[in-house]
Amino acid sequence: MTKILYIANRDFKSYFTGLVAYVAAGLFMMLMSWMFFNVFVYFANNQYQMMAQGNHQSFSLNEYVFAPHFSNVNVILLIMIPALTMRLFAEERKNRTLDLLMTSPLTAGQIVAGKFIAGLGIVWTIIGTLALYPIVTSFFGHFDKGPILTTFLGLGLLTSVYVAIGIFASSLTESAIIAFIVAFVIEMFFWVIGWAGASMESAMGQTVFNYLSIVGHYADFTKGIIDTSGVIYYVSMAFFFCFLSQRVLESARWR
Amino acid sequence: MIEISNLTKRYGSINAIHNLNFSVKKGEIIGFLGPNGAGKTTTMKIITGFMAPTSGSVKIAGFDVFENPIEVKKRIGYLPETPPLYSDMLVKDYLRYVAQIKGLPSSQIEPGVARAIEKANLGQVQKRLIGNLSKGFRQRVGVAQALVHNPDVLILDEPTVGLDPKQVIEIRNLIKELSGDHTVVLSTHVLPEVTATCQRIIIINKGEIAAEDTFEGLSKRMTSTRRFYVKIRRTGDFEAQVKKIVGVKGIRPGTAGNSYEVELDKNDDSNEMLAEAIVKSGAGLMEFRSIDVSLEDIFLKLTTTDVAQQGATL
Ligand SMILES: Nc1ncnc2c1ncn2[C@@H]1O[C@H](COP(=O)(O)OP(=O)(O)OP(=O)(O)O)[C@@H](O)[C@H]1O
Ligand SMILES: [Mg+2]
Repeated sequence: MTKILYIANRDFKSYFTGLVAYVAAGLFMMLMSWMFFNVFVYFANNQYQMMAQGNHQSFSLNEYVFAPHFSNVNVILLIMIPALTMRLFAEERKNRTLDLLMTSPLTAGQIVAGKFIAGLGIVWTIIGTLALYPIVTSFFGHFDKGPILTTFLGLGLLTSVYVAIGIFASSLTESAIIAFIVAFVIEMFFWVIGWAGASMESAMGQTVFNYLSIVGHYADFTKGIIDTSGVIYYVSMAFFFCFLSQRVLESARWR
Repeated sequence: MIEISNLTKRYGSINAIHNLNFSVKKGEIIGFLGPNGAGKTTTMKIITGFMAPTSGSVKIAGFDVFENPIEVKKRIGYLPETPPLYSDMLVKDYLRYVAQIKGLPSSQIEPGVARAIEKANLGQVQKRLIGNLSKGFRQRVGVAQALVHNPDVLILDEPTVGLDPKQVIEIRNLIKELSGDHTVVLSTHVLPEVTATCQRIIIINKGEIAAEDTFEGLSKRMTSTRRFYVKIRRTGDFEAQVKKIVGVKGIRPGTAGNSYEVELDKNDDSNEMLAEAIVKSGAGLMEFRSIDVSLEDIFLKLTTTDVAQQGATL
């Protein structure tokens, strides 16, 4: 276990020795603030118009600000996470440092676990900045805290799947660019599967495809619902891709 | 300490190594000598558990590399052909990290790092970024990472490549110092490298062991005598006659019928006299050829000039 943390610690720190962490966090915060500003202005305009018409019923911040804002996050993560995880194995292959890991008294599982924790660490650090929006908003508006908390739970789970996919893609190649593309394609596959579900004729097919869709479960979390089947889905997907990475590492010995 | 039996590795259809058998005793330094593509790196990758062999087995301190990889890896320090360095880390942090993943108990990590820094003479660069080091220093960091957990066995793949003459001598002295406590296998295609450091030499060529001896033994075989394969039609008292020829050191029956292996002083006169005498003896010479050629060929392909020596004469 300590060896896993040693690996995780090194990889996590190396995000900060380069500029990677700062650039990623900076871009992320800029984009998210801009998007938040847009949904907020849209919301404020609507609210203003309603009031101008003499209607004093107010829109819910949860429904009209946070829900769209947090589903926008998903789109950004789709690109940001492969970019953050692409080098985790590819770079070690390219620089031959994987030789060090592979000839140290470590199992392939420990190596993958270390990488997973490092990847999740940097991603969670960056999405932690999202807490600013509800905190700042809470100074001048009223909204329900529950859905915000479940959204963060959903984000945590969702990102663990993206990180696992990113690690798997990175384990396949020594090119970070290829790792990025492969991760992106796999993620897209699990997005598109949801759209395919929607256009399915049979109810059975719809349920299966909806279940496999990465986006569908997350939408529930943003609405304040803790969907156990969603939790199980995310955890098993993350586990599955970590398992695949472990197999890839093991098989490298036999080439 | 190291037991290798019937080790074979195929890359697709290429036979990188074929049926290797050798063992290394505790505290011994052996040199793994061979021309490019001989299979040195392949053998080392298998010994360290980095790669699985096609067949055969490797045992380190009694543990089989494939049944018990963790136990084996704890006991091995490995310097691959390309040192496995993280250019974004400081030398000292890197060595600490290696000590950690090698499973050194936390109380021994700092002393281990300090010892490796001292042995590889890295004191002046320990706070530098690895990416900014010169090639020679990077190589030394590579040696240090192999030593940091004080392993029983050190596998060093061309440890002095890219170093300047002074550094080459330093690293060789370091390796010599390590013998006794550590069992060392080092590979090289520089002949003087093994003569300077190793107690025993294994010469590998095209994936097979061509010779295994001390350097003295090998050079004796190489320089003082030469062996010939002789095949004749009528034996008679051939053996006795040949023994009388000047320069002949010995004769014994060869593998095929009517054939002999004759050991002879290594000079062209003896060569000529032997050939002449055999023809004149009327035994009916069928075949006459040198059988040490393979070893000589290998030596010819090796690098015989040494950077360390060049440095000394500069
Ligand atoms: N990954 C690989 N795929 C295919 N063939 C390989 C691979 N690695 C090595 N070989 C082949 O196996 C043989 C032995 O290679 P190896 O690297 O073990 O030689 P070496 O003795 O270390 O040579 P050098 O002195 O050049 O380092 C060579 O013919 C090489 O081409
Ligand atoms: Mg080699």
